[in-house]
Amino acid sequence: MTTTDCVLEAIEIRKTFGPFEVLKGVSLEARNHDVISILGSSGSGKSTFLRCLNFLETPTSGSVSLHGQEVEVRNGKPANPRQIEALRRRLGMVFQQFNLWTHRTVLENVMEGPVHVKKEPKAEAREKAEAFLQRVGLAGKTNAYPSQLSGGQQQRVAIARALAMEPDVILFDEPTSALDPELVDEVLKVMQSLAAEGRTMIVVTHEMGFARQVSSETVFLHEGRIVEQGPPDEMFSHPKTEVFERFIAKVK
Amino acid sequence: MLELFSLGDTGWGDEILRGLLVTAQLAVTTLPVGILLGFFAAFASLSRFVPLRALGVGYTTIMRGLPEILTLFVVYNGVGLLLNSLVQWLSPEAGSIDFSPFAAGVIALGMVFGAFAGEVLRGAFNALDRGQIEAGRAIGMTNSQVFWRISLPQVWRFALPGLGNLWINLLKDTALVSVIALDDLMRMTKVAVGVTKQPFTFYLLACLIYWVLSVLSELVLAAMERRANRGVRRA
Repeated sequence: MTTTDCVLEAIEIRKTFGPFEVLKGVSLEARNHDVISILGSSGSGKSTFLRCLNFLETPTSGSVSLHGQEVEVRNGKPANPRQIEALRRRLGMVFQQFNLWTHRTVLENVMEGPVHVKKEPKAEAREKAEAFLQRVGLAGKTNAYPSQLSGGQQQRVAIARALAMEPDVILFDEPTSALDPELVDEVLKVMQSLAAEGRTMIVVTHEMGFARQVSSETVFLHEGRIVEQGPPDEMFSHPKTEVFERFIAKVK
Repeated sequence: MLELFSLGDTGWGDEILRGLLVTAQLAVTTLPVGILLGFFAAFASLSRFVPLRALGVGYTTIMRGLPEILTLFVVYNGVGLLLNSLVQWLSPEAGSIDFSPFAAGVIALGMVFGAFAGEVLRGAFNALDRGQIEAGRAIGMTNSQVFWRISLPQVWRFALPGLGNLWINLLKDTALVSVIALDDLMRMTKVAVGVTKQPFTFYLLACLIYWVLSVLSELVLAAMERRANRGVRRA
């Protein structure tokens, strides 16, 4: 594997909240077309790790590089806010609680980033936004407000909003955990089709089916450390550690 | 009786209307001053920097605890004194200057409005969902884009009913400036009463005018709230 293949690389990410060390040095490398599922029980630090990748949490130490460009952290602070904005422009993020802007229509939500962050012409951004909404199966909802949509529809809009930035990697933070069970599938299907398109994705999830069938690599976090990592089939059929074995037994 | 309200030399209509104009000017000039002070007060009270927070909390607590009329006296007399001693100090030959009652009214009422608005806005900022802001950051918005495009429109929605109340209070509090000899609606009414000895007629007229102003304001506010709440599910 050549180094140019590597899109996003996190090295030795540590994060402490007060006296608690939530992440004890986590490293991860995502290459083009990787779909990496991050698993772990609650409190394992998996969401915190994902949020460190786009600096919604600032790591206490460690580094994140996108295409070899490193965002430096000095004394627990990012050295340059411009660097972080540039990083975020190329990393999509899908939240557990969707976080669509309530005062904007569906179309405005999707167009916001391209128009105001990437400074694309409005007409072009609108055309693309409509295409992305069609892509997630919501072409008819462009003028609706988020509050008029179901959770599954809101999350699909949130995915379209992330796609509209044409990111190098999309981060998913437990994208189906806030959904009613009958709405989970429509979101997973969209994610599965994105994976099939060859998009690079990092997904924190409790959906073991998705982790096993869709991801190219799974990572198991426990108490702030990666304890197992590898291709999902191998990992699930031959767990190497007792904690992961217990985890699989519990979530089944 | 209609003669009393006529616009010519024989009636009080033109005087009252001029008073109304002063009242409206005072309220409209005070509003942006008050809102701006309110934002400063809210930012200060939400700041993590302790001295700034103390300043914000101190300002809102003190101003809300004072009777408006006292604030007005303190500003009118105090700021006048301050200005004059400043002028004396800068150029001892210059004569004394008069501090305009209109400016005193704007400053005093603005400070009162700002203290209450600070509390309304602080609550509104606290009600803001952090996820909304994170979603903005996550697509690479700058802090100022997040503030202007996401935080402010939503804070506005939460704060509008409270600010609307304050506006109506402000309209009525302008009547206080009549005591520092500003020729507003209230003072012109008092003058008319003094000359005609018909207190009931003119006070009733003043009531009617203030009430019409409030009703008009409420209509505008209701329209603004409908606009600010677009997209929000009715509870």
